[in-house]
Amino acid sequence: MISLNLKKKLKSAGGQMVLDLKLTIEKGQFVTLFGESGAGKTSTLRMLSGLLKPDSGLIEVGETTWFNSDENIDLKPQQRKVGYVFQDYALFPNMSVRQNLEYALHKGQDKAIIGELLQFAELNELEQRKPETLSGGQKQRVALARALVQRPEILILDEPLSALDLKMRIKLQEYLLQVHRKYKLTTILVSHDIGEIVKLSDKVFELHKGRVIKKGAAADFFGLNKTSAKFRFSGEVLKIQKEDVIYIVSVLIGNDIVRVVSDPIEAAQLKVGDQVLVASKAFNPIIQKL
Amino acid sequence: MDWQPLALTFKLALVTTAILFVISIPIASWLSSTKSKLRPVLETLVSMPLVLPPTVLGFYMLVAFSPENAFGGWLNEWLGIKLIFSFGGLVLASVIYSLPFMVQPIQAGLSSLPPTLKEASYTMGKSKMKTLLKILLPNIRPSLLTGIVLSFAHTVGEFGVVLMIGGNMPGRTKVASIAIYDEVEALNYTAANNYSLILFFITFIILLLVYLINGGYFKRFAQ
Amino acid sequence: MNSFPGHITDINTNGAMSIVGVEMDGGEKLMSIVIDTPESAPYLKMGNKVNVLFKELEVAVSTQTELDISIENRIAGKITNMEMGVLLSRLTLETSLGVVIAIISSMSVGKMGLGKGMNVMIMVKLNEIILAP
Repeated sequence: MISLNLKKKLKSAGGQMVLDLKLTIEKGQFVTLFGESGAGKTSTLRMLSGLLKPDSGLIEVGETTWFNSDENIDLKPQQRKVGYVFQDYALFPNMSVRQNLEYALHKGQDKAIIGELLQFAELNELEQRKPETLSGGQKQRVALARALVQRPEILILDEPLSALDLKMRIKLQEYLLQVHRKYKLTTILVSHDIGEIVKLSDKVFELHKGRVIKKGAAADFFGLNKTSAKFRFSGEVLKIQKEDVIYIVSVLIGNDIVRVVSDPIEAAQLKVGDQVLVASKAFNPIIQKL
Repeated sequence: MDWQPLALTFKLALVTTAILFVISIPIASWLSSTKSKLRPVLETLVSMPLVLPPTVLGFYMLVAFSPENAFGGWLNEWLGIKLIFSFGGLVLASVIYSLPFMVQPIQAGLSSLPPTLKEASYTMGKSKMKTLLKILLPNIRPSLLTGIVLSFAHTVGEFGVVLMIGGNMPGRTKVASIAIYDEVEALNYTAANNYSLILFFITFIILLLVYLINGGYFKRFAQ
Repeated sequence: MNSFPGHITDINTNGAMSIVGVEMDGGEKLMSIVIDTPESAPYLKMGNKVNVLFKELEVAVSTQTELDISIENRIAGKITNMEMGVLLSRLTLETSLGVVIAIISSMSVGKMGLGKGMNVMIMVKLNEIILAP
């Protein structure tokens, strides 16, 4: 179990903010931190991994204390050894894919894991390439594989898929789930994409101005998700227009815009920019080979 | 023509650059990562030689290292080191005088790297030293090269500090720039021109090489 | 979206699909077909509370009570309000479930002579009903 109880003064774009955070994460869970930018999500990850020092508080992981301001305990990032996948991937430009992974080995560690991870991430053919020659999705896979080399118990993913196109994102989501299960990780994700969150995580914490304002099982968190409807996607409202006695709501789902007819009562609750779930019974859509 | 001043110049530049390279990396690394309030002070000190007339620096070093003064006397008596009018003194003065030319490019290079590179290495359990040597420095090779070449060229070209602290002793402190001055004083323009031409072309070639390498020309040819 | 609470009284599973009977709080019984089984969706349990959802545009309206037609869910209702548009009309109906909204074509409203205060049957096919635990 990971328990965090942290206070930290942060300077954000909107001025000063005091992060005051209490959260517990069960071992083996896939947890998402959700919230608008500047809410303190990345700072939380950085404090957990030792890259940012809290002003006061406590971090306990299992039986070990990683940080305790009262007892002056503050383990270095080197001692915490979390697998951290950065938003910009942070691949070492001077090293090939294989060298990036090998660098992460700790002293005396069996090299066999490198081959295993390269294979698992489907990077075998790219292992001699330098990071600058890789596509976004490939870089992401290298960053993830590299974070797993030292067999961490905690994997931290800071908006890992936000820069990728939809197709690659969906593929990598599958891959993240596999990794999480295969290596029995406790995974902490920062993400804005509701579809992604629902698909991946067990539990969601919503942060707002440095505090947890809502938490819950991912399926319950966004309300409507637990319907029997099988044909469902999350997206963002682009346009709401009145037509006759109904409204037509345009929703951006991935790279596609779909239109959904909505009753005036529902439309009144929506505004442009809202994250929404679009669902229908699996019986209704038609399917045709292209 | 007397080659000794030229040989001495390049020996001085080489030794100075080597020492600067070793001491500038920790200084630049500290400057690029610290949040300490001392940082602006140290940055100012490092940059002082850029604006200070070399004679000021040379004058104070001359005073400090003079065996008649406490510090210079102590050095002379206890360590047997005589820094004025000696090659050792020239090296020390050149190191201080060229410090910003080595520290600043390295510091700028380190600051331009995304902080996540360093952080990624730390979360992998790697020490600061290992991170510096294996990740940070290899990724700022152009900056290192710039620092090395600028320091070297600047040391080759220095005059005021050398004259103040080293004087004009053939074979020991008479470097090329001073030899040129000497020859001009003696109205020996041909010799002055010889030294000048050699310095001109050597520095031109060195700088040209830097621009070619850092400009990526070599990389493009290699591919 | 029309949404009404009820509890599960019937589950008829075959392969990956089930037809689920839900008794509404008003006593009516509605049926839904889902691509789920009690194994794949733990909420499918006798007596479990579920919400029954169906879209306004999926509601059919008939003036006849006994109609030989393959629509499983039928509830009697009374039109309490009508909003006529050019193409579509929005009917508000009072039923034993509560207030149901139906959106049908204005053409049908005219042809059937629907008006405020009329008693009608509303119908929803079982594949249009979504269950939300």
